[in-house]
Amino acid sequence: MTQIEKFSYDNKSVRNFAVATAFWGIIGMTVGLWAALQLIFPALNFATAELSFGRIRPLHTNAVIFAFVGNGIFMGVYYSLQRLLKTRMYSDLLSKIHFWGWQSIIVAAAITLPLGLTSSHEYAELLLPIDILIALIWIVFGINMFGTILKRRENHLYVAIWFYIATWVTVTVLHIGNNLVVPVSFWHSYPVFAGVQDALVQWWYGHNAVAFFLTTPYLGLMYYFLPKAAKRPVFSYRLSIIHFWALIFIYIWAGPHHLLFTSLPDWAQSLGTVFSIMLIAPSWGGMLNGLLTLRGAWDRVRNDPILKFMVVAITAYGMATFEGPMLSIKSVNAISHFTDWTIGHVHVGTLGWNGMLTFGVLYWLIPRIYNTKLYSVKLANTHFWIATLGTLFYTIPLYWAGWTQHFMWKAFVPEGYLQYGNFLETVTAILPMYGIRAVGGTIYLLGVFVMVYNLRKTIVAGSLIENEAAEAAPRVQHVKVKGEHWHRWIERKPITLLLFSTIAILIGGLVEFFPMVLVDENVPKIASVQPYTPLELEGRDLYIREGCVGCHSQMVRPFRWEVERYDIMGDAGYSKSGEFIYDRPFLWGSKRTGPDLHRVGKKYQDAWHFSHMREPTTTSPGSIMPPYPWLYENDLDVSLLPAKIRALQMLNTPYPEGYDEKALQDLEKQAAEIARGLKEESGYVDDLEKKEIIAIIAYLQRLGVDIRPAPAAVK
Amino acid sequence: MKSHRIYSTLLFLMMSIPTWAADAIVAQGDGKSGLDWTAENIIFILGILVIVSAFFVLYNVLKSIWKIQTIQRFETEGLSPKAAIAKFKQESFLGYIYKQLDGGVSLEKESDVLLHHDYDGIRELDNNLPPWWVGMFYLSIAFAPIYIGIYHFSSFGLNQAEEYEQEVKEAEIAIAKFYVAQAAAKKEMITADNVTLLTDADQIAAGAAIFQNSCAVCHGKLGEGVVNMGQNLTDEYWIHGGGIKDIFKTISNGVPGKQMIPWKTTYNPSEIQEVSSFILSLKGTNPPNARPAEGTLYEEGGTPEVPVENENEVKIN
Repeated sequence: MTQIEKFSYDNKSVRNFAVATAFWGIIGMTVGLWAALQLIFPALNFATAELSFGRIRPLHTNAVIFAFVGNGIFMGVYYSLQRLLKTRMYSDLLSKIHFWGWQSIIVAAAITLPLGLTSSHEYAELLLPIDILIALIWIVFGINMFGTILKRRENHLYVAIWFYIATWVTVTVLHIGNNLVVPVSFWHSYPVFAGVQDALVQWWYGHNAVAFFLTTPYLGLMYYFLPKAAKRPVFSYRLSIIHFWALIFIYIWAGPHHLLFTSLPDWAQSLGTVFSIMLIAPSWGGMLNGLLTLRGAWDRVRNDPILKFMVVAITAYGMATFEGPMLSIKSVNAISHFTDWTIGHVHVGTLGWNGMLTFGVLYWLIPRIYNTKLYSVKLANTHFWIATLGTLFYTIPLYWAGWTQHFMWKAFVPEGYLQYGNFLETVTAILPMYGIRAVGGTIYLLGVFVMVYNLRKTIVAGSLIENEAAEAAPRVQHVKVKGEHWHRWIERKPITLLLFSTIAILIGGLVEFFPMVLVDENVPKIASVQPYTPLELEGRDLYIREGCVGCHSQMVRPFRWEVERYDIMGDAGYSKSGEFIYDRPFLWGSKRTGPDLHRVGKKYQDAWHFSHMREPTTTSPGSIMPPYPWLYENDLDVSLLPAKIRALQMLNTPYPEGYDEKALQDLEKQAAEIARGLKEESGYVDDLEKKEIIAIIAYLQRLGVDIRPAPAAVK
Repeated sequence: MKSHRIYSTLLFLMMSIPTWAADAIVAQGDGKSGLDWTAENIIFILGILVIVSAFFVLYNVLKSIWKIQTIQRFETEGLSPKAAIAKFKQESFLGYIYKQLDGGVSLEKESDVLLHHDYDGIRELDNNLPPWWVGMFYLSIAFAPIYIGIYHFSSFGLNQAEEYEQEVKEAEIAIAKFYVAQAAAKKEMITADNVTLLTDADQIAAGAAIFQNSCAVCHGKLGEGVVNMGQNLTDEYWIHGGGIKDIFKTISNGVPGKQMIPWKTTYNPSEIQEVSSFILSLKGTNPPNARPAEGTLYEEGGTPEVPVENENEVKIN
C-alpha cells in the first residue's frame, strides 16, 4: 500500500453554518408565528406597511426555506462531503465567501421583502439584483463542491453525494428559469412569460424548490447521518440507485399539479397528475432505505433522541410524499387547493422532515466538532417530544380548517343557492383552528429554544476543533473488480454523473414547457381582452407590493360553486387562459384566506373599495383583512411608468408606438375621474387623485371586466 | 417497526375523514332526512365489514397454505412428520410475511450481502428491493397510460370544461325537481310574486342584522343613503318600486348596469324577506344626513310610474 497522507477537515465552516441554521431557524419560525397570529389578531401588524401579513408571509417562507434549511444543507454537506471523500474542502476562501455571501443574501431578503420589493413568484420573491447575487454564491458553492470532489481520495462517490450533485445542478436550472425578466429599473422588472406560461414556469420552479431544496439535499444528509448515528449499514445499495434516478427524473414533471383545475391546458394538468402518482415509489424508496437501515437498531431508538428525531423525520417524509401524490389527484385537489389543507401538508414536510432531521443532525454534529458530549440527552429528549407535539398541534387544526372551509364553500341549499354565500362566514368558522395552529407553532418554536440552550451549553463545555486531523491513502487508479455492480462505473466519474443528472432533470420541464410557448392553441386568444391602462398597471404593481396574492386568488375554477360565488353577474363564467395574456407576473395565488378577486371588477363601487381598504371591518364586519392606511397617504410613484411601458412593449404588449410618453397623461386622467367620484363622499380632498389607493381601485375594478359582454345600455 | 405501523394506520384514518365529512355535508345540502343518511352509512359500514371479513378469510387461507408448505419443506429436509410439526410451531406467519415484504436477508445473514464499500465507516448492504415496493412502482407507472388514455384518448373521461357543464346541468335538474316536489307537497316557496311583509319583531331584528352586514356600507347604517353609493331607503320615493315585492325583487336580482348586485346567491329567500321587511320598517324614520329623495313617490296598491334616472349614480361604461 502507498503511504498514508495526513490532512485536516475544515470544521469551522461547518460550525458557522450550524450556528446560522439555528439562528435563522428561530428568526424564520418567529416570523411565521407572527404571521399566524396576525390572521387571528390583524392589529398585530401595528398598522405598519413593512409588518403587514402580505409582506411578512414571504419573509417567513424565504427565511425558513433558504435561511434555516439552506444553512442546514450547507452545514450537512460541508461536514459529510469532506469525510466521504477523505479530503478537506477545495478552498477555505470559497467556503468563507460562500458562508458570508449566503448570509448577506438572507439579510438582503429580510430588508427588501418587508419593503414590498417582491416578484410575487412564490419562494422566488427576491428581485433581480439579489437573484444575481444568489446565482454567484451558488456557483461559488458549486466550484467548492466539485473542487472537493475532483481532489478526493475515495474512488467512488457515495449516494449522499449523488443527491448533492443533483441538487446543485437542478437548483441552478430552476433559479435561472424562473427569474428570466426584462428589467425596468434597478429593482423593478417584468417576467418574460405572461399568464398561463408564467404560471407553468413558476410552479415548475415552486414544486421543484420543494423537491431539490427541501428534499434531495436532505436525503443526502439522511444517507450520511442516519447510518452514522445508527451505526448500521445502509439497507440496500440497489434501492439507493433506483430511487435516486427515478426520483430526480420524475420529480421535475410534477409541477402542474399545483395548477389543477386552473386555466392550464388539460394535457399539462394530466402530466402533472400521473407523474405525481409515479413519485410515490421513488420517494418511499428513500423512506424505506432510511427506516430499514435501522433494522437491528430499534432498541436504541428508544433511548437515543438523535435517532428518534431521524425516525420521525423520515416517517413525516413518507407521509408527506404519500399525501402529495394523493393531492395531485384532481378530485382530491379540488378540495385541498386554496385551503389550509395545503398549508398543513407543507408543514408535515417542513416541521416534520426538514426540522426534525436538522435537529437530529445538529445534536449529532455539534458535540463531535466541539470534542465533547451533548450537555443534556434528557433535554434533547424533551425537545423531541415538544417538537412532535408542536407538529401535531400545528398540522391537525389546519387539515380540519381546510376541510371545513372547502365544504362550506361548496354547500348549496336545495333552492340552488350557496348555503354560505358570504365568504366571510367560511373564514370566521375556521378562526378557532387558526388559534390552535398558532399554539402548535409556539410549542414547536419553544422546542428550538430548548435545543439552542442545550447546544450552547455543549459548545461552552467543549472547544471547537477548527481543523480536525485525518489521514487516508491517496486515490489510486481503480482496478475493475470482477462482478461489481454496473453502477459503480458512474460513481467514479463525477462529471458524467453531473451530466446524466442534468439530462434527467431537464426532460420533464422541456416537454411540458415548449408546447405551451410554441403552440398557440394552448392559450386561446379572447378578442376583447386588452392591456391594462397605465393607472391599472401601477395599481397592479402595488397589489404585488402589498402581497395581496398571499390571501387572494385570481382563478375562478370551473366548479358550479365557484362560478356561483364569484361570477356574481353571471356573465363571465370561470377563468379562461386568454384572460391572462397581459399578466406579468400571473397572480393566480395559491391560498384563499380572502375571496377570489378575478371577477371583482365593477362588483362594488369605487367608494366601497375606498372604505374597505381603509378599514375592512366597515364594509365586512368581522373581516381579518388588515387596513392599508398608507395607501391613502403615499403619493403614487409614477417615475418608472415610461420605462414600464417600454419594457412591456418589448414583450409584445400592444401599446401604441410612442405610448410611453403619453401614458402619464392617461394615468392622470383616469385617476382624476376616480378621485372626483370619491371626493364628494369621502371628505378626503387633498390631492386624492395622486394617492396610491386610486391606482389599486382602478386595477381591482378592471379585473374580469374585459370578458364580460357589454352591459345593456341603461335607459 | 411498530411505530411505523401505527403512523400509517393513523394516516389512512385521516385520509378517510374528508369522505365522511363530505357525506355528512352533502347529505345536509341535499336536504335529506336523517334516516337516509343513517341508512347510507349502515350500508357503508356493512361494506367495510364485508371487506374486512374477506381479508380475514384470505389471510387464513394463505396461512393454511403456508403451514402445509412449511411442514412439507421440513419433511423434505429429513425430519419426521412429528418433528416437522414441532419445528413448525416455532415459526410465525407474520414474521414470514414481514420478511417477504422487506425483501432483505435476515440480520444474522447480513454479512452475505455486505458490499465492500466503506465511506467514512458507512457500509452498504446489497439487499433486494422490497417486492411490494417494486409492485407499487410498476402499478403507479401503469396508472399513467391508463389515466392519459381515459382522459385524452377516449370518450369516457370528460375534460374539466365538460365536467363543469355536466355539473351545472345536473344541478339545474335537481333544483327543478326540488321546486316541483315542494309544489306537490303544497309547500309555499317564497318568491317575488307571493312574498309578504313580516311584522314579527324577531324576524325584523334578523333582517336588521343582515342589513348591517351587507347593506349598511352603501345605504348607511340607518338606511339614510350615502352620496355616490346607495339611495336613501327611509323616504317614500323609490326608483325600482317600494312595495315588499319590488324590494324583494331588487335585492334578489340586483339592478343590471348599476352597483346593486344580486344578493340571491348570498341570502336565501326567507332572509331576503326579512331584510326587505326591515327596510320597509325604516319608512319615515328621518335619519340625520339623509340623502335627498330620488325616484317616484310610491303608494301601496298604486302602479309604480316609470322610474326616473338618478344622475348621481355611477354608470358602467
